[in-house]
Amino acid sequence: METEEHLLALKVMRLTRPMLATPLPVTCDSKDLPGNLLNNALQQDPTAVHGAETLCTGQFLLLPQSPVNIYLGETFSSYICVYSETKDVVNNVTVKVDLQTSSQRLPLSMNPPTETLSSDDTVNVVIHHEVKEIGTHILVCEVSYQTITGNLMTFRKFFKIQVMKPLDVKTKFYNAENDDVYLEAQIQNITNGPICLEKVNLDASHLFDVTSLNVTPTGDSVFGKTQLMHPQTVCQFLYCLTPSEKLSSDLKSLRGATNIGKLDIVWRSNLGERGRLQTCQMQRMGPDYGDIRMSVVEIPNFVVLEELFSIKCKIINNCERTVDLMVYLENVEGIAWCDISGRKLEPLPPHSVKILEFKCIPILPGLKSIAGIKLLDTFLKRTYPYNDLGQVFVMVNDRKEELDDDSDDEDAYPVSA
Amino acid sequence: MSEINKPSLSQYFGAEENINLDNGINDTSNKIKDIQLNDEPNAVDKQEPEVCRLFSESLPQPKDPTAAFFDLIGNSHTTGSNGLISDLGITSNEDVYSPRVAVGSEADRRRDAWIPSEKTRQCLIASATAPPGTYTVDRDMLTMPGVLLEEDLGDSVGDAVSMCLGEAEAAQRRVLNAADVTQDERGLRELVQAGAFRSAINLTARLLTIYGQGRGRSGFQSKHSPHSLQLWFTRIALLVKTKAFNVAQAEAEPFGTLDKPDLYYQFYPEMYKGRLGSIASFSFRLLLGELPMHCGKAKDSLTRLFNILATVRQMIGNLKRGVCEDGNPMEITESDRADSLRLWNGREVRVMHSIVNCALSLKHYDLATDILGQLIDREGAPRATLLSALGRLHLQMGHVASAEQCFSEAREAQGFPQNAPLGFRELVDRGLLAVAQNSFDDAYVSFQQASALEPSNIMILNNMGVCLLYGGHLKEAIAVLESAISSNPVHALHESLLLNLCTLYDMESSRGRMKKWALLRQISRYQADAPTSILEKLYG
Repeated sequence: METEEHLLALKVMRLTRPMLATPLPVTCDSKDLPGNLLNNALQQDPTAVHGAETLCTGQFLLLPQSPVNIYLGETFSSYICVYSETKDVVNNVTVKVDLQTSSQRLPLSMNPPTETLSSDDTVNVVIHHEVKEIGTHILVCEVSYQTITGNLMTFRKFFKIQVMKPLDVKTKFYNAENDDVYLEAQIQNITNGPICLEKVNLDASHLFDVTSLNVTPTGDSVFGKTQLMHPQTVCQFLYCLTPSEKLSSDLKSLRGATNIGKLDIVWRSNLGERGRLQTCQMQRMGPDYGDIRMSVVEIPNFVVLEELFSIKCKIINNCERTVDLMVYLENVEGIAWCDISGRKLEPLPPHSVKILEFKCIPILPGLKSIAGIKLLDTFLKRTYPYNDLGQVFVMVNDRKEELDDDSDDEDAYPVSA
Repeated sequence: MSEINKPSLSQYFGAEENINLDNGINDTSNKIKDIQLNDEPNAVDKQEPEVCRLFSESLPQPKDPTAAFFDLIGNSHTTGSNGLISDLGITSNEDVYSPRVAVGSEADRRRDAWIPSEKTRQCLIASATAPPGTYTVDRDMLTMPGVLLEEDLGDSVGDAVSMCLGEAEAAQRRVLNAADVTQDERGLRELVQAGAFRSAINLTARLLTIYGQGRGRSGFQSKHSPHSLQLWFTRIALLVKTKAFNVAQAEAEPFGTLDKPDLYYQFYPEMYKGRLGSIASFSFRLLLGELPMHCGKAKDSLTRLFNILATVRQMIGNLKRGVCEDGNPMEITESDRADSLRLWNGREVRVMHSIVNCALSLKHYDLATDILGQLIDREGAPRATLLSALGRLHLQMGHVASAEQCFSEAREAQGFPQNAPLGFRELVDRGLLAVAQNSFDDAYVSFQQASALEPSNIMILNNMGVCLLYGGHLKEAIAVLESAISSNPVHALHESLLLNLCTLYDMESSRGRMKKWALLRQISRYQADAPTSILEKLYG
């Protein structure tokens, strides 16, 4: 790369975490031929741990001996040493370190000039940089100095670094009927060694409240004690996002709330080497609610055969005009409505909400869907049928009084005689 | 004598002094065995019942005094280490023997006990029940080892010195080699003690020739004895120690998993007269179990080690059920049973250590954590030491929070009051934790405090040096490592420390080569052997 001779030279060493060296435990019984000689040799080995000589969990730091991959989100650290190759004193030594990525040039270090460098001295620079781009990076080290005759000299050295992708993140969204959004995130370790996930957080946009579904009721991780991931393995995380109060009352902005948030992942590998990744803003497909939306607010889980029960529904006018609605109740199998069909509702102003109550009597036992409710927009002559608003379990019961009170209690199972 | 130097790991690290004392006796017994085997070069067919009987009668004689002698040594150990829980949780079997005349055979029986595979067991039964001389075994059921290394191993350090520093320098090198010692077991031990492993390997080749298992004898029938198998164990152990893994694997191949019938005493009824068990020692079995992992076949090792563990557990189960290790309903006294249980529990722990190591080499951290956890939960286990080891395992895999928790549990297990100053172990662990958190300056402080407690500790000096480098202090790092070498060249001229120092020399200037040669000169002066990898680094 350079043709001219220089008085200074430069070496670079990447500072990945050291390793823990251990001896190779070869032991024997005192009655074997080598007696205790092998055991003594092992015990005196400086890499052996006193009391745990035969276990290879070492404590002796060994500098990295072979190149290690660097992954996006890890910190690239390097030692840059400039030393003199002449017996003369060299003046005003500056070392400038830049990192050239495919898109930009980042200055990493710019030391104040070393005024004089004698033949035994070195200029030492340690750089740290969190890599935020994938692909080829070039470490550019530029050394300038003044010879004893006052000539200004400069040389540059280049080191190529290939930054790889550590994790593969796949996400899926489910929009639930009650406006909750479920996020499934699959994180795959695509490095070539095992990693420990230290933190996986969903930083949700302010429009949603997040519940992480990755811990057991006792607060332990569902993945066990250590979140260790071998190469190529996948961990699946699940989050429930509940729209904030303000958002759920405003269908239009709820539909527009496609920004879910970002996943923030921190992992560690060999001896604590740390990496951190943040996904970009995740987008969901906004659900299409139409002009009019009806959803269940209150419905019992269990009802008793031939006994009146009621459900509450919420009607939202999602358009920019006031709508006039008619409610029709059609008979369906198993449920008899105890209400008026074909009644006219009060005009519903734009973006307003109305709660309706319907009464009915179950006439067949078993799991029944609430169906048969129809809304008619009298202006557009458009009907909105609702055939699966919710389900009730219809029980046969001869001790009705006792069950009346907790008919919506999940624990109240039918007691058959 | 042994009370002053009390062993810290009673079984695996017993006091060294008994080696010198037992040499004489062992040698006589071995010579007798040598003679016996020399007299019967092709004895597999057992055509000479008279001779065999004669020897089998005389054999227990030299063995008994040896055993009793060990027992005496063992007893004096007990006085020294009484009340101490051995660090690895391995309790010594030799500690409690009373010097009875018959104890030798019981101690041998206990040590050699093993359960053969079904196929081997059938074969042993057939050979024992057949009229003498009528039973023949398939060739593939026999163990036919031979030395494969074509030539003696040379002095690799000497070669490197003459290449880099010249013949004159090389001529000054004084090391023990195979020709300088008596051509027997004692000489072999002398070489091992001097660290001249390559020369010791050469001597084993010569000694194995006596058994018809020397160069070029692989694939030929020969007879096995405790002594020949001990030679093989020593040879393969040293090949592993010198990292000649492929040679070790090739030469160990005929032994398989030490399950062939000709490796059991029962196979030679005339010679060993009712003695049962494995002629090969347990250490050899373990070594062969670990061997594949050194050759990049750690999964094979895992299988072998779990097989060994299963057999050991079966034997412990047998002892607890009131029968002998191998399931034989023979009567043994309660104290013998207790000794047997202690011995085999210790061996179980040792196998589990090997499994942990194997799991680590596979980066199979779940398994390593699991087995370490089992070791910690064992009764009488050295909890503090093992918890600290588990903490370092967590650090290695990057689980910093768990590591921290293990270290604090290790501290609690020691039972020191909360405000007691940190001990050496805790300071080292705290330093390593700081390394994992990328605070090399904090790590340096912890190591420095540890160094105040053990100023000559090479590992600590090395770790301080490494931290200095990460902090940008190359020159100081070099100075610390050099000081470690100059204060204790015999131990500090260690492969890992040299690798570190060479890396630093390479960084520091273009004069790294001269400094490396200076290291080579030191190695030549203080070491009989050095790993090839480090020599290459020095003259490369």
